[in-house]
Amino acid sequence: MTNLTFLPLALIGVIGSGIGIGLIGMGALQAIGRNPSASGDINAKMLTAIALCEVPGLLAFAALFIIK
Amino acid sequence: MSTEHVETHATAEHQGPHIPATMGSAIPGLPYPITTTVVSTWIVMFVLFSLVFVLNRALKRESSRMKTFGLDVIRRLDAFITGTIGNKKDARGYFWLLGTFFVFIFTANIVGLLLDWAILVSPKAAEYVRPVNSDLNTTLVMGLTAVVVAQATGIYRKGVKTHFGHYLANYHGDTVAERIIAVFVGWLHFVGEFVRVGSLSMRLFLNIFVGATLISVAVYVGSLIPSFGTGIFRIISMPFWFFELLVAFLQAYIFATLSGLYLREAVEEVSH
Repeated sequence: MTNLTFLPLALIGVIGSGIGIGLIGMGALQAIGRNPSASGDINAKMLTAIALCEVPGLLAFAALFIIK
Repeated sequence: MSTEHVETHATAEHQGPHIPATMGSAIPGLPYPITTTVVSTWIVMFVLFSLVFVLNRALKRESSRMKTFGLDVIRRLDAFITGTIGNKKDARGYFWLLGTFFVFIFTANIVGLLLDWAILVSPKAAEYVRPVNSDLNTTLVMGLTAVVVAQATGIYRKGVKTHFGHYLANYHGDTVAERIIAVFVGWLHFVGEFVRVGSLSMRLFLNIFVGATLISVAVYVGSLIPSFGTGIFRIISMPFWFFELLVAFLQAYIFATLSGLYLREAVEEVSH
């Protein structure tokens, strides 16, 4: 059984990750709005940045299940 | 958790969502400890080798759909790796590594998602298979391979002294203060090489593991909705399943991109 005592702590990490991914998406959309012809390059960089950004949230979420 | 605690909760365990273990467990009834991850890897290898066999036969023919498909995959991978590493010669030289990372991780993730259906049909299948990349051992080996190959390339291209001198004794700058800072930054880069192994492997492992957890939690929540004993509302896990299809592609892409970036640092000339 999973101990849900740490659920609020885990959710703090997920909040930060979500804000970060939102900011990355905002920046990418603004950049594409300014220069639509560069959208392919920007998309690739955006995906890389999102993958870097979502790791803390996933760590917090997985730690919830790993700590018993 | 103590043993008597487990025993009291043994019956209650079936009521909660099925949270997968963080590592593959040994298959019951075998004399050798073969884990579920290894069996899943064999399945992935079987899929990949069958695909290679079919593609190899198709390449010898005049034209066929499989041939077009295979050539298209290779062309796209080549363009992607050339864009990551920066020049065409080195991209061809490291196609074997980055292309294998992409194809293997993507196939493993897709096969792992399809195995979710097998587990849904017969829950006993969970004792034999699990998504390959939701085991830290697999991803750790792949992350180590990426970083070790990048380091070996750096040593081969620049020489041992230049390569490690860049990390440990980076005396560059005009003033004394700049040189001291440069040395510390070099040490940080040296520690960062070890962090890269962890970050590469943990990113892939956590994404796939959390995805599997998310799907099982959604299946559990769906089974709580009253449906006259059919359990049809477990279908609410479908959006998560399709999201995991996106993640499956994205993580393969990210892993290959980041390995390519590390290789790019190794193959390109030192700027100072």
